[in-house]
Amino acid sequence: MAFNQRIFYACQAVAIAPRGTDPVAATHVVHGVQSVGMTSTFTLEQVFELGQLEIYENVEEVADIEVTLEKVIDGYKTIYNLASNGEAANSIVTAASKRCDVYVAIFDDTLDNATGTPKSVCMNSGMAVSSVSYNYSVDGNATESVTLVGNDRFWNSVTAGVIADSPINIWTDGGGQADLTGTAGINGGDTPPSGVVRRADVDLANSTLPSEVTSQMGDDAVGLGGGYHVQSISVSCDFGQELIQELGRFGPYTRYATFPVEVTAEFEVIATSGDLVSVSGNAPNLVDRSIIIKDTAGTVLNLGTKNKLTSVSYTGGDTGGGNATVTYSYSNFNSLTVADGGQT
Amino acid sequence: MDDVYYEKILYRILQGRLRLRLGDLVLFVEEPTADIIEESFEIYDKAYKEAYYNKVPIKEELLDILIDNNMWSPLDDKTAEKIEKEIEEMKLQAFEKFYDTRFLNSIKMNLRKKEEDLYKTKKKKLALDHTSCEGVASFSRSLWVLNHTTFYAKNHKAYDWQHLTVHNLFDLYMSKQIKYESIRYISRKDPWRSMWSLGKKSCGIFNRDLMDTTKDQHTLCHYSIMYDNIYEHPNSPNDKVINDDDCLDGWMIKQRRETEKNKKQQEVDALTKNSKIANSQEVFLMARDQESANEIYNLNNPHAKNLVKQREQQIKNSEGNLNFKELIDIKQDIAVQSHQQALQGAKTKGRGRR
Repeated sequence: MAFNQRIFYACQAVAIAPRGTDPVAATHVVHGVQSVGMTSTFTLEQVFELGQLEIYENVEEVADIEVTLEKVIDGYKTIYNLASNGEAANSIVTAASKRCDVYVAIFDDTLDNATGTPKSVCMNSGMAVSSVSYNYSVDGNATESVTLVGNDRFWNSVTAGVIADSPINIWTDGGGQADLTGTAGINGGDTPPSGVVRRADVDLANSTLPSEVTSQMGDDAVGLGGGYHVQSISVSCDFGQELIQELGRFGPYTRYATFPVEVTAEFEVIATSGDLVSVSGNAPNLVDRSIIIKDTAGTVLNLGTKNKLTSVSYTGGDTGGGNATVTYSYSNFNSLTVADGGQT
Repeated sequence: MDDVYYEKILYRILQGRLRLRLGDLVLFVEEPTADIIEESFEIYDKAYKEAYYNKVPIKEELLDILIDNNMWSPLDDKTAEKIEKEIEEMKLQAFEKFYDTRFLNSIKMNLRKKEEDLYKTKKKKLALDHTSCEGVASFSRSLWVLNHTTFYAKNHKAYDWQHLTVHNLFDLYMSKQIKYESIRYISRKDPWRSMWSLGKKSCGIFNRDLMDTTKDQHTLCHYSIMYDNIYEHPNSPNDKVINDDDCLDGWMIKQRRETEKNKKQQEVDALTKNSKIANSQEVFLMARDQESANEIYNLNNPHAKNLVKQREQQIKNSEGNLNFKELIDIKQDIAVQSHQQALQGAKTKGRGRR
């Protein structure tokens, strides 16, 4: 139980809009958000000079801003989709190059739901997707977790000469406020279009899974599980997102994903007959596998056709009474598209 | 106070009565039995009704009178709260500096002053209570109880009030109430401590049913259990702290705060399972309504709560000029980081020279 100095805010609503969008509209609101974490890191570089004990200059470098959002998968647009301006479903390269503004509205104590002008709005400007992960498990809800990185953060009425309008104005201007608080927004009656995805909603029967994963299959297929006895699936990708600087400019010239990026998928399956993976020293053992994971909310995680098994681990089945499980890990490079239920 | 004084009080508590000697007259004022207490509420109700029909104000109505006559204001309640917090802090200081006798004495002096201030502040609100229906009824009940619990010591016959009135005896009885401090002292010292240890293992101490035990006997047992728990605590303080009420209160405050902090930390850890979010500097949790928003804000420790307030104030006061890096706490963090890096740099250079 590590204790760190954290500040907890009551969050009213989160919106992700393409960079420079003004005002924010209901289509930009992220539904089903569970929690958001924000961290800023400052880099300082000391310059000393000979003959002087005191510091010569303490040079400040560009601050790094990191925002991590987690939502349940519920038929609404995914965070990755919003952050990549819809490119998540098309191409990982284009998605990684898109920039967005992330708004977090802080709850006003006097309101019952996210209506009216928020007390404070924090805007993280020019954010790029740094990592995404999707988790399906037999316990709890299916979740999406996305981390975005950037260098600019503004509160309320601040523009700091960087953005054209202040966060609070962008949030409340024009039709934005009406949209956010009306029937399309979070108004106390907001419900997930598909229902929150849980174990019964993971459509493995119509997914494309590696044959190793389905090899533990029994003869009692009921529902959408295909009888594969899968316990959990996690898919993740870390984009890197490094800065490029240029002379004559404090801030970064651009950010870029450090391709090739590795996309990993892990399947934990109840073992019914060992891990069933044979290994030979005389010939290659692995073949490319296609992986497409679907759920009833309309989410489709497509990891392409060139996934290779990177490890298999067999755990459990000990005298403690736990079940034996096999975890199959696959990876590919640069191949991940995410389609969602698409509702806004 | 010497040991004889406390022993006298102990035996008064054990007997469950006050022995009063007024010249040749010796009286017992016994603690009321459950039957008497039950019946006394009838007296209370009757007196309350009489007072009410005679247009005596009820307690709530007295607040307006107190405010109109500048005898009390709602601000006094806030002042009392503030003093209570100050007292708590001072007790904590007393515990933390218990080895520094000079400092401890000075804290104790301030504590007594604060306690007096608290008493005076709280007393303001109660200044007219005796004139309310509740006050009148309560007084009538007390007199009735006293009337039925006073006996001649020589033959245990009910006292006939030949020599003094019930009002006089009531004043005398009230002046001889046992202070909590005395009961607390007794509860951690012999001979009571031995009685308590043996009594727990045998058939009890007071030789009467639980229902018939007196208020002072209850208090004595409560304190005794409290000291048992302290002695058995894995981080039990030393005897000097245990024997000093202020220091021990400070120790208990510290334990309570640590427990609350750990509990809160566990709650928080359970809320944010995503390790990236859990380890972020600022965590935003979705609030459904005002109540859940308040619960989320309450997850903050006092320092974080202050930061939220400070930020809110700063954001509110700034008109278009506040960059996130200008937030006071962020500036402080940068300054600390800069200082640490400079220090680290100087140390590295020093090592290089050697």
